[in-house]
Amino acid sequence: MVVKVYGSVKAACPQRVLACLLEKGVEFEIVQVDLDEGEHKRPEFLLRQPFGQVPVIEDGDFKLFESRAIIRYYAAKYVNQGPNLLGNTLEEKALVDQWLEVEAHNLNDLAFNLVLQLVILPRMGQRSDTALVHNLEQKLEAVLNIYEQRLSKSNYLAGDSFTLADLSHLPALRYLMNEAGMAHLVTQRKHVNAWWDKISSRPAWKKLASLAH
Amino acid sequence: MTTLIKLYGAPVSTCTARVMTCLHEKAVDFALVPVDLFSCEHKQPPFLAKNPFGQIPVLEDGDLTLFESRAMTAYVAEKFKEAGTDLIRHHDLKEAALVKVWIEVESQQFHPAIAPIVYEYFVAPIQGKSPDQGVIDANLEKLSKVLDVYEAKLSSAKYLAGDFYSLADLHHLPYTYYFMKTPCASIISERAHVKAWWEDISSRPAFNKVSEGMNFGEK
Repeated sequence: MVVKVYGSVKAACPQRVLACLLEKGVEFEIVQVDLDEGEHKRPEFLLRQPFGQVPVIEDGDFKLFESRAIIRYYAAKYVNQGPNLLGNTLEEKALVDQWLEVEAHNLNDLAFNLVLQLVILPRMGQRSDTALVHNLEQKLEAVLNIYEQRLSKSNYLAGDSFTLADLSHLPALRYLMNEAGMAHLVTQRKHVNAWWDKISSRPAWKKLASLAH
Repeated sequence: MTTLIKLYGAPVSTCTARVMTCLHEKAVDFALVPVDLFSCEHKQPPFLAKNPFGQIPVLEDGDLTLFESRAMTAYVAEKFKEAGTDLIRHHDLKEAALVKVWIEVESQQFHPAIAPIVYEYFVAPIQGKSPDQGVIDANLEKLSKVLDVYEAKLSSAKYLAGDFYSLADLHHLPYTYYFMKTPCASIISERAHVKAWWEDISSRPAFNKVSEGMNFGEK
């Protein structure tokens, strides 16, 4: 049974899910949701996802939303297929969770708001707030300094292997480094840069990039 | 040999309370090691070695050190899954997944709207500032929309992930507890199912043990 992923291949949160499915070799079908037209806020879509957001997955009768819950489900369901994205021991799994939480609470808002200011608002013909951009950039620098410290001691965020914790960062960092013109945040940090090179050159991510951009 | 879990934090802290509630639900012994927020102990080098983000709580279990409260509750719920309340539905992959959905909803939808409101009423005054009504109003609007979704969900099931109490419900306790002491509490009490759910989850003994310590000296 093919997993249906409702969303757009260009949108960050669906990309988080698609990257995971590609890593695990799980077949999927993308069902386009037209975000520019506001399709995700209409009643028919709200029945699928009451918060009006993508992605949503349908796997037979089973439905899920929230990209980080979806990747956790598939990483667990297919733990014996493809790379192990969860960690082996309970302690390794806890470290994966810890860095997933860091991505969600310490990095995502900063990255999202920078992309909003630098990419989305201009696209909509609106002005961005330069002072806010500066403030966000400074905060993100401080967070990435911590990542630099962590990655100087560890090949990947949760330990020696690529896990969901690293995967979860791919979409937002790609947007920051490309469309938002903030590549220096990564390239100026030796260990963050090396980590980014490793995780963004994985075949699954390259496959997704070719589908999307 | 099992070691005693150490939790570095403060009884008034929402995120510390989140983890303590989980430990109580699982009947796990732990020691709360106080961190002095007022002298900024959590921003200084000895503590930063435990959590480089300078935030409480931190959990130590033997050699394992964790930060991020939701990673801690997931760890405790998994490690002690056969003891106390089943918070993660580990026997059923689909139920477990639904718990994860609503854990994410709390984290991504509920928390960003409620946290700034709690901050304005409880933390800003400690720093000598008065509550920013603009911030409060903007976030109340967001929170109301989130609670509309909760009201609909809770009209068809007793708890967020289904007819069973889970980590998804538990994660809402600390911030909502403080929120209910603000003038904004009505947005919870005017939604019948959300209100009933709140009364249920906030009266659990595990949470009562923790909420006793959650006061800034007010009555």
